[in-house]
Amino acid sequence: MNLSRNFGSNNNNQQMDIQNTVSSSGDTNNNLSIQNPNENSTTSAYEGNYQVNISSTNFELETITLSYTGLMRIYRLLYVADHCSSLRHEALLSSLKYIQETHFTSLYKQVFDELKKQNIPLPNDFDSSWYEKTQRNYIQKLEKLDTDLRNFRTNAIKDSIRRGHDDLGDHYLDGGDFFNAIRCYVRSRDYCVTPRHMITMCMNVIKASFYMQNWSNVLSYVSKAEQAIESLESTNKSGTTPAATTTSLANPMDVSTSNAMITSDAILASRLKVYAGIAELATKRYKLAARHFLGVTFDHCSNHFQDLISPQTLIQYVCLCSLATFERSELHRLVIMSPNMKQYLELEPSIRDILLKFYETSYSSCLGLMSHLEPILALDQYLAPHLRALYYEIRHRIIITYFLPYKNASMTTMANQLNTTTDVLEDELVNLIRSGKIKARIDSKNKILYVADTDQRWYAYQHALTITKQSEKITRALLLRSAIIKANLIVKDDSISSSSSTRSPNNNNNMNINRRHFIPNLPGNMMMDEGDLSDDAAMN
Amino acid sequence: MATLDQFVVNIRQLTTDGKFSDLAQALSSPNVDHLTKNIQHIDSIIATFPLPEYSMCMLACLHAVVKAPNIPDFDLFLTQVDTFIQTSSAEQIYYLPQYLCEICHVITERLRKENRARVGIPILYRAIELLRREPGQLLSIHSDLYQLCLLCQWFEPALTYLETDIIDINRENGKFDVKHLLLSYYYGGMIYACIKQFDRAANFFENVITAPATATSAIAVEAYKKYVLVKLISGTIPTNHLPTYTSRNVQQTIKSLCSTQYTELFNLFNNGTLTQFDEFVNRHRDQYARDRNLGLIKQTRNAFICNSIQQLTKTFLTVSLKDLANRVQLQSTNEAEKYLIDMIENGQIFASINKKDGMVIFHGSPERFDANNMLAKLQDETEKRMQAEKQLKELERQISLSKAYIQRTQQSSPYHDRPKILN
Repeated sequence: MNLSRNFGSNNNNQQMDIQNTVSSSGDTNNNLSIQNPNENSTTSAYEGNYQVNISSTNFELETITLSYTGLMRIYRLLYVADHCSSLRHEALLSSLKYIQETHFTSLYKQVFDELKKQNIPLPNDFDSSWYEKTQRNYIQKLEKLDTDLRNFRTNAIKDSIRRGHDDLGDHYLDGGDFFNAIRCYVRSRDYCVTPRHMITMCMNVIKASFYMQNWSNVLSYVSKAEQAIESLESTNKSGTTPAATTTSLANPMDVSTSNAMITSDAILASRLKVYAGIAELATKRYKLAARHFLGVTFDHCSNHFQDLISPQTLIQYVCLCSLATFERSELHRLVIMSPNMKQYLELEPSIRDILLKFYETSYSSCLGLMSHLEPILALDQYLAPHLRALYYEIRHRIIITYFLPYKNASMTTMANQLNTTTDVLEDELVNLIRSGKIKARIDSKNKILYVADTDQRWYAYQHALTITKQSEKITRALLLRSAIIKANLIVKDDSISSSSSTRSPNNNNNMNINRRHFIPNLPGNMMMDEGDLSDDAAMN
Repeated sequence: MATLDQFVVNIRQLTTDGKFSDLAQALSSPNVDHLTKNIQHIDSIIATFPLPEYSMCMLACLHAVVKAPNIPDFDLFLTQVDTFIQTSSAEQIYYLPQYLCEICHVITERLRKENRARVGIPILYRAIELLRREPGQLLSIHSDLYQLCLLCQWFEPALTYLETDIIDINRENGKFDVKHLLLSYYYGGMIYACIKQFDRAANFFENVITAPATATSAIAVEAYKKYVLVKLISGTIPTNHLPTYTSRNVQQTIKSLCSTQYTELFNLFNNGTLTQFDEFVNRHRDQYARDRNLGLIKQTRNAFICNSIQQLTKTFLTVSLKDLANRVQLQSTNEAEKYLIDMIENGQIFASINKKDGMVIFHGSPERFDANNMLAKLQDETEKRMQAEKQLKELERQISLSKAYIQRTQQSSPYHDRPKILN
């Protein structure tokens, strides 16, 4: 059970090593903090081993199998297998089929074992020798690539060495060994000559880090790649115009690999935005995530990103993140009215409805649609951990905007509008009032919500009183302090020679805090600080 | 014996001549400790000094007694000191304040051990009266007095001194130990906590924590622990920011020693539930017991409930007692009612309880700030604040006129050689 999870945690152990590799290969970027997305503990219902019931929806596995390719398809299938019992059977079988297109033997074994455990009959065309065969192939190819690389090294042709590293990395990636893949890709960095090479290297590292869910690594390489693209554009300005490169559409599968010749910069930029967006989403910066996703051009997404994200998924991400974080005007301008987003929205009418209902303030139907969609979204491996938080955030915004024009509002009507009971609503309102998001007070007896009437005059007086008290306190403290300084008193270490006893308080700024002996209990024992006063004493 | 006689004659002569600074020198010179050496004759020597003319000689004798390994008749000594303090001349004592302070420290220590704190309070009280030059002056005896007052729970004598803000510290000829400063504010804070003036107690503890420091005193650490609790009980909106001028050393020590058991309480107060609070306190009960803060912790729980109820007044206009009890996580509606009534009586919240339908109705503050007495109060507060400001101005003026300050600023000024040119 829990295949996708297992996979994640296995690799988390390796993240540490990646860091070392990255830094040892001359990488000066030190802000690669280790973040384990699986351990970001919110008490969301969609964490850990939850199950989703999709009977009320028309979710089908085909949406995944048709719109995705490669590893992403396998992982998405496995995620569904983990979290939806009714589709488990089908998902496992088809993932097994797709794994056979790769060299990912360890995952194959996991899935195979799982199939056996679940007593699912294997398909007729099952190739029982695939495992051994592929393993052999994998090792052979690995050895071949390794010797190739060694040959390149002896010949010392930079570009060949770089390609050798890339090929080896690609092979590791194909076998699911992301850790080694990143290592190879990062090593190729030393042999990058042109910005184009840099971009290829960055894209490779991002891809492998992405599968490992090492989000900080993804983000840092995204910014590196963007820099490289910029420098590329500035050098290209005299030559081909950027528009010309945009139009030359490339074979989608080659975009991620090192074939720089036919890669379009615009597609690359879109792709980077997707990576960055998902990484920001995973690190809970929803607004940034939404902004990244908004920059992804529809054409690129629908034609080239089958190994990464489908336009349907992308618009789901955009919808939730923007509803949760954008202002109403921003929502209108950036999402609903955007010609680019319109294309996405046509593809996924349910999402369009949610956005429009929200904007039209028919919250009841908006929330209804959202809860209808919830099981499907819960089967998305990147969105699921944040689903609860996003839904909560959206609800809160709805309550806030709902109440905005009123002076008092009936909570019963409000609860009806928001598809909930007054008790639940009351709890939510209490939370919102406490956190200062709405200024109101609840009449629990009559179930009416009143806008808090603030008596400005009263507050001014109250404020004046507290301020005088505070400022008097501060002045008194200041008087005492100056008396202390005037008397040349300072808490210091008495065990140090008496020569320091006449120090003026002015040169106490350099406090070395270190090795401290604490003598507890008796008030009156000073805490001693060793090796502290030497230079101070010398100044006298 | 001859040298002792000669010494006595000498100091008598100096006294009659009125050369007090020479006399102070002679008496405090560490080379000539005739008195300590001849401690067995001290009583006969004491008899030769009538008061108040020979106050300083007498003081030296009494000091010699204290310095001796043991005091033969402590009660007799106490009466001696007491009569001395009541009859001696302040003018002479000013030359040797450290002697009297030392005597007081010894007496305090002894009385504390013998558990007779009450006896010493009048003596110390009068000693302070005698020695301080102005009401705002701090002496090391203050800390002794506060300690004794705390020990026997008799606060009035201490309070008369605590009420005056300290604006000067008697250096006691360089013998004033910073320990006494910290202790007097620490004990002062404890006294205020005992009489439930938590605001002021918090200020006192804060003074201990913020004292200039290059090393952290254990007193400061203990003070911080009490500071946290007292601050929470005082019911002001809790924040855990110490003033910016707190020594960095102290801040770090506090962080490493107190953050888990104490600083964390601030967070709990801001967004925890009563059950969480109880769990937290139970988990750290040993630590609190060791710090002797269990009493304060109990009051903190009370404050926590009051705080939660006060939060509710901000969110609700009316709420049922049952709902209120649920939200604050109290056992029963009766308990909730009890707390509500207490708080209404103390003026912490403005509410009324409707027994018929079990509703609590929260009102706004009835204070409209339009009555004369409120305006007068505001004026009072402002005046107090201006008073403090005036003292500060005066202090600044003193500094800017002081010789040392002028010299310093002259040196650092780029034109410091200008007078030469002008000459």
